Amino acid sequence: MTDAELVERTLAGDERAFQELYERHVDRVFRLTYRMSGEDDLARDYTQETFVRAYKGLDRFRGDASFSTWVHSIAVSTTLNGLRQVKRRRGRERALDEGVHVAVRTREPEPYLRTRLKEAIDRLPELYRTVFLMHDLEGYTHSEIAATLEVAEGTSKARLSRARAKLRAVLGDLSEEFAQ
Amino acid sequence: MTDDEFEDLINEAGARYNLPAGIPREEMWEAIQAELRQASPAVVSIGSRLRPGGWARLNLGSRGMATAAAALLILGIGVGRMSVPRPLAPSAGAATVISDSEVPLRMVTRQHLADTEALLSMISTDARTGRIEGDVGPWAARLLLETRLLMTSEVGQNVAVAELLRDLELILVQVAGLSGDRARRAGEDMELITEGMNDQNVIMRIRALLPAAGI
Repeated sequence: MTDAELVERTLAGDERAFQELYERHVDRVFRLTYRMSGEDDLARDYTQETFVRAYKGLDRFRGDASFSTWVHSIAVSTTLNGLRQVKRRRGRERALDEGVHVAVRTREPEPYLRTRLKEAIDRLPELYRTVFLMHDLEGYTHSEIAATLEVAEGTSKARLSRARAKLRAVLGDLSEEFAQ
Repeated sequence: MTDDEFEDLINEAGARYNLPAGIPREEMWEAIQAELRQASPAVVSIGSRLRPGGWARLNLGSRGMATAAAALLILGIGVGRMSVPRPLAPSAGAATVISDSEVPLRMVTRQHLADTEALLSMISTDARTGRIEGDVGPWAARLLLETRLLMTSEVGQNVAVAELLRDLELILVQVAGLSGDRARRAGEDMELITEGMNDQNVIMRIRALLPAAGI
């Protein structure tokens, strides 16, 4: 049965059809929210909220895009909104944390680069980071990203290019320190 | 940093950066169901886990039907004096149809309406293909018997419930007439049945009454 058929069955009152939709898409949604949030509790909250919103809004699902694209759109917006709230709440804690990271440096260049890469990814602007996570880490195509974020494919490619340029600039500087 | 070194780091990030150890599918699903039930009491269950047995328990056979009918009669007559429920406007979903003292009859009514909704929802979905999958005749026949018993019970004294049960009776009579091969070639009959369902808006009326039935 296709996703579209399951959506129809759900709207007709077949609640098990929605469970089937959940089971088909939860893995990829959870991985994405986890990649974006980095925390198990947050990823669970955002994933759950995504499917609750999808169920409640199913009668407004137009069917122009695939169900997968639609539910991933909800996941991205839910996660970004959630992370903004978390960031505001934890703003003071993050400032202290940043100070600690700056002071810590291992003797091994590779683990240090990995740590700094993680930090650099964390600090990417939201728009660039989302595309980077989806494309380079989760394997979404630019077509899927564009449909999910409702932007042109060219925009998706441009954001990815800028994200990688920023990361390369940060990592390039750091690798030179160890080369000296 | 060379291009290859950079790509190696990015690839490694894919294997390390914010990667979940596992996916708690069951726990999240339970949380989703809990939230949706809280938001709308009419959502009795989502998925077969909260409705044990799924469709299987509905095919009672002749002995099962007789048992169901007897249970309804006992509940409707032998439970004691029932208070007359408050009149319920057809569109209202929050008023209590059955008082708290009528728990057994309320439970039977709730289950009956939920089962009927399940049958009609399935028929509505199958109507698009003009065929009914499975033998729905016995199922509808059992529900028809229960509907008629409820109509004669205290539950049938409520205006909205009585109207709904009368409409359900008409539809179930038609569905009960579909059996075996005829069900699989039920194009024209299906059109009439679904037309009746849509005209009377029975599925929505059932869902509106389910919370009021004490869910």
